[in-house]
Order: sequence, then structure tokens, then C-alpha cells
Amino acid sequence: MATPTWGYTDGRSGAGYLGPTLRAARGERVRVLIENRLSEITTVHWHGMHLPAHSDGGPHQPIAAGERWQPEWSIEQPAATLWYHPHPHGETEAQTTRGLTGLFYLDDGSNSELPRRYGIDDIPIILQDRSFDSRGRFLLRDRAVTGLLGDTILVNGTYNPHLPVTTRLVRLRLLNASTARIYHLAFADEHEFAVIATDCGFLPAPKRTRRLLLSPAERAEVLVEVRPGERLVLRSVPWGLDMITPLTNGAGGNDHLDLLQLRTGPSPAPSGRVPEQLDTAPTVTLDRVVARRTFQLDGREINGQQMEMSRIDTVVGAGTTELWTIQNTHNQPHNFHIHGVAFQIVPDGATSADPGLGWKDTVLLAAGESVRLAVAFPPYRDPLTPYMYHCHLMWHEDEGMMAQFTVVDPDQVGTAPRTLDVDHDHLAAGHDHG
Amino acid sequence: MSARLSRRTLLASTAALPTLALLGCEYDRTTADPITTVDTLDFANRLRIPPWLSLRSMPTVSASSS
Repeated sequence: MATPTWGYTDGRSGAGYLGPTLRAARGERVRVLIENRLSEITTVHWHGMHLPAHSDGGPHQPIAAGERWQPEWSIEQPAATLWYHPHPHGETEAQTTRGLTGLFYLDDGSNSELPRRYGIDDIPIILQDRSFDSRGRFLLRDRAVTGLLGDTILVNGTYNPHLPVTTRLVRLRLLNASTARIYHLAFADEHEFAVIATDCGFLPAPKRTRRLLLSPAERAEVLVEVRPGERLVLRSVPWGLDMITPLTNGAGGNDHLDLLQLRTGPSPAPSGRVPEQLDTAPTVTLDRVVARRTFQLDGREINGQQMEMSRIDTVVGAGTTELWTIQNTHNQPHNFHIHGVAFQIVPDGATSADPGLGWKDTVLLAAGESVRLAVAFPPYRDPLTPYMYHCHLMWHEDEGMMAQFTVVDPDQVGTAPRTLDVDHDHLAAGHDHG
Repeated sequence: MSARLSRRTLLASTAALPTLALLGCEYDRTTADPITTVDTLDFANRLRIPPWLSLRSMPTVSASSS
């Protein structure tokens, strides 16, 4: 029985599922030629990348079947583990479920003492859950409150996987590439690990823990110290998020899932230690903030509205920092992703961000929770090409829990266009989910 | 809650709580019971590592079906 899949390939590497890990370094000019050999419109969104809006790969950069798209930009952000995935409005969940996902590593030469041998002691970990029908096809219909929740875990597309570990210290670059499932990661034996990076870069110091909550699209890099012959099982264990039991169950919050076994050989090679400190970007203080905004998440709406491609919901000044308060007033969890930026979380009552929570582009909000974000906007001005902000539970996003912002000269925030001419037919993917 | 829940019983039980709004709650899973795969796997398959690709030489990346 075979499962029809979609994937990215450069013609030499990459199979029919997922895509190659792309790598680039700070200061480099990047250009990628994308060919769409699918039978429907897609886009390729560079999640976490700071780049001009026209290269972002959101719903406004459709690639029709058989056509090409060639985005180009310069890498001007710190080292991080980013990723890429489709983003056509209304079809993101389905296209991602079929397999369109890949990692994108950015390097900058910092923290060079960390394990960095790809596939040896620096391991990409793409977490996904899938369900299959009786003919082996991905199930694309039966949803929980958060969206599609699979009963089968795939790691890098591998079912029932183990990782041979050959060094005493191993770096796992974790991506929650599920469309809806929230993972609460732990080792079966409560083995401690050190978180060294979140979505958009390194923490100021490793954070030792036994638990890590990762919602869809979030990334984390962790260091795991192992002993000779040790076998560790990475699991997802229940998370509560203060919801009533039926909703928690329905969102997968009480699931126990084995994800991956780490198998250490009898003589793992020495490969450094967990460092005391890490190089990271400076912390944001609120005296830099030029505007404050509030966004309310409820149902499938942001501030009471659903996504409209022709409406600019928010206009911000290029190169400025704003304080965004995100309120989840719904009785279900949501998360919140902003394209093209990195942000830091500012605790209530604090006048600066908490550097220990890292630089992020996606944040999880439990039911009823609020979070304050210091958002650093890019220097790229384009009043007619919007970036997106949205819930990254992909079904919610597809259903319209998404909005648009443009970045303009700070002097033009009040006068920039609030509407766009949009060819809806040109942007519609539309396909048979069967 | 340990009993298996159908969509109908889930909606009925949550609807009994008057302070809850069920906007957008389209629960279609066949069961609301938690699932577990703990101790059901033997981890027989070696983890696949995706190939990596430098962007220094402009690559052509295709999205395709198989």
C-alpha cells in the first residue's frame, strides 16, 4: 500500500515527501527558482525569514501550476532554524499535510563550539502527525477542534524511527510541522536536556529542562547529553492549558505519543559540553516602542474579522518596534505567527522583554491567555504587498483567522493604502481533497 | 473522562456548560478519547535525514506530487 505524497526536490536530492534542508549564511544573497509541477496553485513561504514582502511567499505570491517563481533576498538576521511550506489562502493545511515542508538553516559563525555536523551530531527533527484511510492515503477531513490530528507520528517522514547517536552531545533541531498538534516534549525517563535556541535564534544561555511545549510552526534547538549504550525515547506527554477535559482531549492534549528513540553506541565520541553562555541578539526595551496595538483571537477571527485579501488591516513603520498585545478570548488554544519579523515576549508589568524566552515568530496562547510582544519590523518598505499575521493552526488559518499588514516609511503610516486590487481567481488553489 | 465519546456526546456535554462558546467547534474525530502509542513501537526504522542544499549556487526547487 502506497501513500500519494507531495514534496520538494532540487532534481538530485529530496524524495516525494518533505524537501531538502536549505542552508545559507548571514550576509549572503539568496535566490531560489521555484517550479510548480503540481496541478494547482501553491506558494512557498519562508517561515521566520526577514525579507521583502514580495519574496515572502504568502498568499499574494501564487505560483500557478506549471509556472515558476524566483524570489531573491539578502540574509540579514542571526543564525536560526527556519522552515518553508506552502501558504495559498485556504489550502495551506491540505498542501502541508501532503508533504510540502522543509527546513531552512541560517548560519552566522556564532556559537561555533556547538555540535554542527549535519546529520551526525546536529540533527534535523521534523515532527508531524498523520492519519491514513483504508487505502493508505492521508486523511484530510476528520478534524478536532484544532484541526487535523493524526494517530501516526512521522519524524522526517519516518514512521517508528530511531536515531543512531555517535557522540556524547547531540543537538536536535526540533520543528513542529504538524498542522494542528501541540507537542509537550519529554524523554520517557525524564532525562534533562538544554534548550539553546527558539524560533529565530539563540537564547542568552542554555535553559535546562525536562519539558518543552511546541505548537505548530514553533522551533527549538536542544542539546542532549547521552551515556554509552543509552537508549532514550522522546515522547509527547499531556499538556493541560486549562481547558475542560473534552476540549483538551479533542485538541490532543491528553495524548501520549512515542516520537523517536535515540540509540547511543557503546563508545560515543566526545563532542563538547553544554556551554554556560550563548551569543544572541540584544534584548528589546519598551522605550523603543512607537505604537501599541491589541489583537483579539476568537473563533476563527482576529479582531472580529476574517481574512480578506484586498484589505490591509495594519500599517507599520519600517524599522520600528511596536508592542502588540495578543488576547486569546476563545475557549480553545490558538497560536500567533507574524511574517517577516522576530519578536520577544514582554511579561506583564515589565519594561523590557524577557530574553530567556528567546526571539520568536510564533507564540502559543492557551484559552483565555494574553501575551505582549515587542515586534521588530523589517526595513523593507512596500505599501502594496502585505505580510500576514495569523493563527498557525493551519485549519484555523485556512478558515480565515489571518490578517495583513504592510510596512511603509514611518512618515506614511497614516496615509498608506488600506485596500488592494486583488485578482481572486488568480489566487485560488482549489482542489479535490479526496 | 474515560468513556468513548462520539461527536454527539461531546457536543452535548460541552453544551451543558453555559459559559462556553462553541464557535467554530466542528469536532469530527471518531473518538474523543486520548490516544497513546507508548510502548507500542519498536523503533525499527532508521531516522531519515533530509539532504541539505546550499543556496550559494542558485538551485531550482520543484514542488511535485508522487
